Amino acid sequence: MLSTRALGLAPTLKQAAFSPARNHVLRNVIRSSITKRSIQTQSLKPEDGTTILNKQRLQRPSSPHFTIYEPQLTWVGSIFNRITGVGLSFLLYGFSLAYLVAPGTFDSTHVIEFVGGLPDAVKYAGKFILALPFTFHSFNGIRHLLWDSGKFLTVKGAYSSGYAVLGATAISTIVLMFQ
Amino acid sequence: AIYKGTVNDPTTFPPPSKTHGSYHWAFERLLSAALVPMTVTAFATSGTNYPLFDGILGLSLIIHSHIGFDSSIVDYLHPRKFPVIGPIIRWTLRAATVGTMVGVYQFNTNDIGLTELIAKVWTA
Repeated sequence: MLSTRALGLAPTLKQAAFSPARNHVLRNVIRSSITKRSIQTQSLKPEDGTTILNKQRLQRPSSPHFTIYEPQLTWVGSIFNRITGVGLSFLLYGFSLAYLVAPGTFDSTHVIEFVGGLPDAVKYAGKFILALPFTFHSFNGIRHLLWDSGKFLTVKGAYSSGYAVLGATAISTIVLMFQ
Repeated sequence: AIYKGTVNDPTTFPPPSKTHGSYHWAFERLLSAALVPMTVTAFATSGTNYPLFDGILGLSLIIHSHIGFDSSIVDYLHPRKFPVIGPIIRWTLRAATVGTMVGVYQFNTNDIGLTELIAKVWTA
């Protein structure tokens, strides 16, 4: 009987069955083994259900999604727009807070002097690193505003405007690099 | 009967509000649209001739950056999923924005101003 094994009653019952027992001995044995179980129980509050479920969910595997999505102009352009925006904003915030904290080291004369003293290759690289995000974010921002007014809202439109943005970014970055 | 409070509850939605909804969207797009002619003018003229314009451009850039940062927080660190760091980062952003506004004001008043600085550093 599976239930008696699970409840831990099997050894007791076996013992009782093999001993030369009379009815009341068997009854007493069963009664005492029923009141004293050899299994442990644990009382849980209702909130523990959510906690245990969340712990289990953290350990469950998930299929690859972001790692297998083919890079396309649509979403790569979108995340690059965010990355460039956040990067430029970090620069703006960083410089303004640095000027607020230490106006002596970050005022215009020192900054211009420092940049002027850098080698030419570093200057060109620096201009490229600053011009590319700025131009891409500006042109892609215009593309977003055009989308908001209802234009280019097809797949062809998204791709053609995307290539236009890439072209404009490349041209304006090169123009700005040699200013 | 639909039981609430179990582990199968759907996600919550924020209460409908025009200030956080359509007005916020409209303001964000208006600001971004206004930044386009302002940036073009900043390239054309110099900041020292029109300090008020320089200040308005700086303020608009900061507000635009703040809205962008806030959208990133909503997308990646929503307080619904990150109940502790979400609000912390949000308030850090607000403090940083206020600090940046003060910094830009100081820079534009006591120094040459943002557009002038970029123009000079570019040709340094």
